[in-house]
Amino acid sequence: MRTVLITGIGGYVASLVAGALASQPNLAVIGVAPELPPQPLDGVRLQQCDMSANSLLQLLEASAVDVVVHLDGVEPRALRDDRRGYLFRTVELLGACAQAGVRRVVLRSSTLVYGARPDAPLFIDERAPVVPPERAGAVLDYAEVERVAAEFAARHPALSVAPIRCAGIVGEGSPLERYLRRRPAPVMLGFDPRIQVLHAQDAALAFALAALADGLDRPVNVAASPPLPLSRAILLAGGRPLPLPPGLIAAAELRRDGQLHGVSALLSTVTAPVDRLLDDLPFNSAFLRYGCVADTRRAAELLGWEPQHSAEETLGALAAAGA
Amino acid sequence: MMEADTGASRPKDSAPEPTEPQAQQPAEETTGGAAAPQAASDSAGRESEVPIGGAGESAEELRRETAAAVEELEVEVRNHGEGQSEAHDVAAEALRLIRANLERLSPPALQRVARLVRENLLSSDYLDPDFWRGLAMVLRYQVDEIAGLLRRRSRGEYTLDAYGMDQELIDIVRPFAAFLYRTWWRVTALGLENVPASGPALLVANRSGMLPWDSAMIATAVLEEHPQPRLVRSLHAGWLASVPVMAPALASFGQVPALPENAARLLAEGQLVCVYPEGTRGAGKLFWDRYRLAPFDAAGYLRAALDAGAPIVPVAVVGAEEIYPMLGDARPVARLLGLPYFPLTPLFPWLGPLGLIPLPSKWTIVFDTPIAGEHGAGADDAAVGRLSDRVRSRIQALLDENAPRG
Repeated sequence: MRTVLITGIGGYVASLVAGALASQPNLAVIGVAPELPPQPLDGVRLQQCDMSANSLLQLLEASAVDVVVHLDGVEPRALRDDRRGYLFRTVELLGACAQAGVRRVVLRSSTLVYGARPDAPLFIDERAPVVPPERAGAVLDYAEVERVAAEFAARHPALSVAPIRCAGIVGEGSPLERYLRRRPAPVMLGFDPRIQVLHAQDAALAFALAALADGLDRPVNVAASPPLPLSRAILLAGGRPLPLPPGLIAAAELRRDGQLHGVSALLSTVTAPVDRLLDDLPFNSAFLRYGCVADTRRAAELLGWEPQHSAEETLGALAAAGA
Repeated sequence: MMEADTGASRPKDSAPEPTEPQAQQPAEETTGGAAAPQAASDSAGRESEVPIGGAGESAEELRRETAAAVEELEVEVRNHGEGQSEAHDVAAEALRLIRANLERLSPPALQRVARLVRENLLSSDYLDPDFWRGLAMVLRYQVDEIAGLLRRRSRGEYTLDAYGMDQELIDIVRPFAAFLYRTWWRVTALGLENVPASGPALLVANRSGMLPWDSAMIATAVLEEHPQPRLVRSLHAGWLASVPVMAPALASFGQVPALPENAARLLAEGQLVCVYPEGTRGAGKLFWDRYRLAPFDAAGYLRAALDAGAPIVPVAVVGAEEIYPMLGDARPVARLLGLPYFPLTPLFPWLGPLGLIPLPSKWTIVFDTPIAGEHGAGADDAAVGRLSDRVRSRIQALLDENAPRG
């Protein structure tokens, strides 16, 4: 009998993971969150937890947890005020896990941690370095959490950490979904990078498989296939792409960061009305210029994971849901 | 697609209408534009009246009939022109292009083209200037129509592969590339049998010219003349991925940034890959250095080929060095624009975008016999280095053999 604990059980993906694992024989599934979902989940023991190191440790030891799937993350509540909290909570969780003898922690991460670079391969595999973006946001949080977790795992050989790097998940109401459905959705004039998406059910399947994959101790990319040009993804999702000149986008970002002063600030007020369009981008504007497409062969190899939903299908469903 | 043509008024067509004034037959008006199409005339007596838009005639029939008529004319022009000036070849190739484009047209556009063809091509003698004007008019109409078709494509109508390649776009552009291949650069392709009909293979070619016309012509050679037409995926300089418009366009045509990882992936899929190991050093070569290979950077790609068990085919492109004779390199301007070089040719930048029209040099593309890899996967660096030297000297030898002296 093994025990898997899922954090952030109130989230959509977490509930799907719990559902997928609950049907496994010889497996106990515990779901924890500061606020529990109103409905019970079949075959899942729900437990309220304030996510502090102490209460986690008690819980982990009492239930002899083998694997933790950490989904108490930044998304889809990326705009919540506790951004720093994700890193902090993860550190607390890792400490408790190491002390309680948990064997593996499965983390949620993003394929965008490889960064938007013109010289990146067309399919980036997991050996590529993580390049934290300069600007704050969900991607930076993931990159930082991955770095801290890898350092932690290096110091605790009994605990392995497996970040599941997900392409933009569709189905949980994320900022990416809102962006893809916008009319107009700003894109960069003269560029059309490829992007990847991932159906929430496929993401959940990957987390569930990672929880069951003994010995998994390295990052794994997961994404639906095929990668699509951004403008096409927007069209498929029911949005309408609006190409904006790169300069305008750069000015809007600098202004938002308060980095424009004097004459340039004065000049840029001319284009200020455009800023509103660039609010709530799911990633920084570098990803409007260069793509970041992950190679998912390791997921097939180590997890036996294959996406069940194509990118077109996933985005088509999004358009249908919005209409 | 029916609305595709309505309202597409092109008043410019009416101005150079080379046909003799003829009776208007408004019943045949299908485009609804201001183009005032001339009625078909039997005056030349070489074509019976085809009822346009009439009942009982499907678009496919019209397409077939028009194609047959154009082909007949093409053969006639070709036969007549044998041993004579190149003008005949150009005319015949233009007719061939018109014929290929027919496949792409929507029914209303097809009807209009059929009428234009009948009035302006079939009725006039091909030595007549009117014939040439007619050719230009039909082609221009087709180009406008096809460009409109591309613009109107939106969702769900076309598919792309995982690298962003747009097969439909390639099919559309292919006849135009073939036209350039045959008439503009009059390419002679030698040794195409050295390109494997299936399975992975790595072509290694010399790079020249500011724009990747050489990769376009290598691809056209394999598409048009190889017994088993295949798509060549060229690797382009990585910095092009930072150039607006260029980046997505290259991806649509199946070109990918030059990185050994990308080559390895394509070869593992069994694709035909072409790499230019001179890279930017080759494209930014000055005119007097032409056909002298710049330093090579091929090790990563050769290793990818060895790992995939892909034959390595040296390719020499002769003629592309002359299309933009680069007399100087304005380095300060290049630095300012963030480009690796800024070419000064007799026409560029002095004539602006017109200076980008490549000169019509005569090309030869030689595909050498594949180099058998005596080392399999996992060859050491020294072995790969020797292989790289061998490929380089083979290409240089081919260039020396085929390049014009001077």
